[in-house]
Amino acid sequence: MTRERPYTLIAELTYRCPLHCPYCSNPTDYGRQPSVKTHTWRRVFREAEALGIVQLHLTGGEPLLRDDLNELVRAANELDLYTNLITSGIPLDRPRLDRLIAGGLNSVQLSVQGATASPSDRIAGVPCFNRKIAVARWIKESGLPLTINVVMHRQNLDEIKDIIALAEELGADRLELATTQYAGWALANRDALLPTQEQLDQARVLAREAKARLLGRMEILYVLPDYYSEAPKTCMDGWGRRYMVVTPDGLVLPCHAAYAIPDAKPHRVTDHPLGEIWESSELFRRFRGEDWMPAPCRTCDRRTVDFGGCRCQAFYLTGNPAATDPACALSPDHGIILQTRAGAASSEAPPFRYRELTMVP
Amino acid sequence: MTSRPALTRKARLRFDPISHEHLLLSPERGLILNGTAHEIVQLCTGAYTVAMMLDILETRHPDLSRIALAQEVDEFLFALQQRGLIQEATA
Repeated sequence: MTRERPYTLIAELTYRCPLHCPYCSNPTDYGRQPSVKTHTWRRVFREAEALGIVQLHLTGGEPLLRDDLNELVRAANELDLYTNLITSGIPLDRPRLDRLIAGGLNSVQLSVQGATASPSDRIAGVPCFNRKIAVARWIKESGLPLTINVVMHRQNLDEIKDIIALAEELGADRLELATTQYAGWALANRDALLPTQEQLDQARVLAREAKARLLGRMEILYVLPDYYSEAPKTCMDGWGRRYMVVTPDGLVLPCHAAYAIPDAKPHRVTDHPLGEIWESSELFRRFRGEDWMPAPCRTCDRRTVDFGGCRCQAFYLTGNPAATDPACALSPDHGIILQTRAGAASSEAPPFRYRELTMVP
Repeated sequence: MTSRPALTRKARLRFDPISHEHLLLSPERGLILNGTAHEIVQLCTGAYTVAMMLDILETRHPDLSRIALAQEVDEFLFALQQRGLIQEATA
């Protein structure tokens, strides 16, 4: 077996964001650590490329809130990294987009919250829909590949047909109908976000139909939420197998939500080289491979498919990050999921708790 | 199938120094190319028809029959097209 090597670096450049989306998986309580400096990010990119990373996601928060974004894109381009900007689009203007493209930006993933302005703006907590549509058109005019990302949940799943039509009309190359990941703000809002079985059944049919119809023109990604699928998600393609995340304050994580795991003790990019963290840090080794697995994962045929599911979710729901993901029907804790599902079907969605704007990193 | 296939803007070739293989990268995706696949991708410039590609590959691989090569090229170009990685070159 070849040694694991990472392919993708997720660089969270800042936690600040102009939107207030209740489905955000950023932490609800930010640290007060200083943010990673430009020259450190440049070193991180170099070390990442040397480790085998070929894909770079510049994300946040809102990465456009960093004044040095253009410099970082240029640095990534010099390393031949495929660089994708994951953005709300809000701080962007056309000249800045052109400068980013000139600097070597390869693609943009633009978030949209719904199919039309009013419900979309309600979810974002700020008027932004019309601006996003303008941004999508600039991106297409410039010829850059465009991914539209819509985080799907109880309050926009019924719009799925119109969302697909919107992405098609905008000429998106990809449409990610993303499943809400219940971490950070999203976990605090789970009861307002968790869809019903009926909504999902309908959405699945519509997504499948559109996927077949648009094959070769627009790629559609739609995955059944793990709360409803009986099998856990293949979280991050397995712990410490393909991805590295660096947070705005420089913590290196196997997934963007791993800050929550107790005794995680993540290393900081300012204290250790990235390669050393990947190879030998306790956090990256903790759930790598199969030695950590409990029954029923240890002997399960799917252990090389889903790698035991999501460690953060196991912790959030059971208190034990090494437990089988309760989303799995074989988990002894699966009752928690069944109960939550039943709750979603029988109750009205509570009001959103909006993500707060923060002035730290 | 497109008559003169060309890579779309989202597709980018990159050599991977770790595995010594060629990768075809696109947003959040990567294909590891075997030897023939890499040769085919290199010919997706918009200058070559599928028949011209076959002529070139045939001279490079005298051990392979044209029928086998044609099948491999067709299948691979179809897969690339379905992923939106190639399009017909604009004349």
